[in-house]
Amino acid sequence: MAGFPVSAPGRRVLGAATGVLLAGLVLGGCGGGGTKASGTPEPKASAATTAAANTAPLSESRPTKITIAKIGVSAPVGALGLRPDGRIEEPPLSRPNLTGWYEEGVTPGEAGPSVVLGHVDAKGKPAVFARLKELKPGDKIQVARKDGSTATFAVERSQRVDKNAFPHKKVFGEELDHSALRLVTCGGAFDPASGHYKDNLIVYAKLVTA
Amino acid sequence: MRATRLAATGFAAGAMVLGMAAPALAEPVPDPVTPGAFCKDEHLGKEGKAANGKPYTCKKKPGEEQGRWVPLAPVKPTPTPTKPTFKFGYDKVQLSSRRVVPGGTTTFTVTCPSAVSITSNGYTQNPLAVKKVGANKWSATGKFRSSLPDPTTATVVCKGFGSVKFSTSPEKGDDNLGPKQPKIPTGRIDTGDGSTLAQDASPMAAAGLGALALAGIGAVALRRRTVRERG
Repeated sequence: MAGFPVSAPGRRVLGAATGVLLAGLVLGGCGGGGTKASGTPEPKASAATTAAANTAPLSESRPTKITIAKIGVSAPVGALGLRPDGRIEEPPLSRPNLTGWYEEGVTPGEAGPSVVLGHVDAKGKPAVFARLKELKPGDKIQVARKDGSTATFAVERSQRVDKNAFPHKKVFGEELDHSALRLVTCGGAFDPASGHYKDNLIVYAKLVTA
Repeated sequence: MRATRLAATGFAAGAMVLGMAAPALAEPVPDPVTPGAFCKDEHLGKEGKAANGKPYTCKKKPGEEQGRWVPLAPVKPTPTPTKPTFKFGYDKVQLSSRRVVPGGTTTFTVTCPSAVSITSNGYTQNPLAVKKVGANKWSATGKFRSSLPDPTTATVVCKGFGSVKFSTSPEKGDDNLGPKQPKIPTGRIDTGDGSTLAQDASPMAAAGLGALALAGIGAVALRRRTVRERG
């Protein structure tokens, strides 16, 4: 500040402006959503195989509808494949209530990890998985299947990960002796530069009744 | 004179008592022991610690008349026998036939150390009845339905060790059950456009910008006023 004389009223104005700026920065920084600390911490890396659940897995049948009463989800389930670049397809933003089952994996209820994706928001409105972060261990997820059966899963835990460190192998290809379901959506801060969220939220669940 | 004799007798008796008692009191192991120094016979086989904390034992080497404090050989941990790790995979499942035809049968022979279950959407029975046929060996036979689903799949679960899946697509003319492993995608998963955040953030941003603008206008006005007053 040496050599830059500022009068008393000037100092007051500068102080006020600095306060406004700081407040703006703080508020803007919170706008991106929760912090990673809010998520359930990632447990230690599990062995290649997880202990058997009590419920016997079902045979193959495509999912048709997903219901999560706790967070008001009742949505159709479409199918998602792989893009040429190896990325998984995503449900269209034009259908914010549509979820997508990854058809290159097992169907929900079969032995192994099945995966369902859903948007957190789309076209200015909360989408089908907007409240996924509210799920707690024990909450139920029901998946109706084409063969008429319904597979009921119980939430085990949730995990928030940086999109660039997504555990693909664990989520899509973990070797299991029981049936599991993984729900995936976006979370964390929003990056305006890329136009996407920075993190993914993963909910892990296992089959409890069929 | 008599007193002198009594005192002498008492002294002698005391000396005898003490002299007899002395050998009964074992001398403790020195603390610390001096590495390499002689140790007493009564300390043979005993352990002590040197000043640096390392353990030593009093040991008589062959040919030596007196023992010395020598380093105590570290006790080697007994290696715990490790069980060979069992890994379940397609190589642990044998199929009598991979052909998938209405009315046809498949016999699964599975190697698994725990328990086996087999589910399928193509057999008349689901899950299949699995029998133990030997040590870690399991067997089950399924008969295909007259109308086969597409895809027709069978999943073999080895409890605690994982599962394998076989699949075929009759509609595509494929009639052989083959391994079906999930394809693992790569890259980012973008499930949201941030539009709700943008909406939430815009009033806030507008308010902040407005406040900044007001502050700026105020600063300019004040500066002009100050300049006028000075002039």
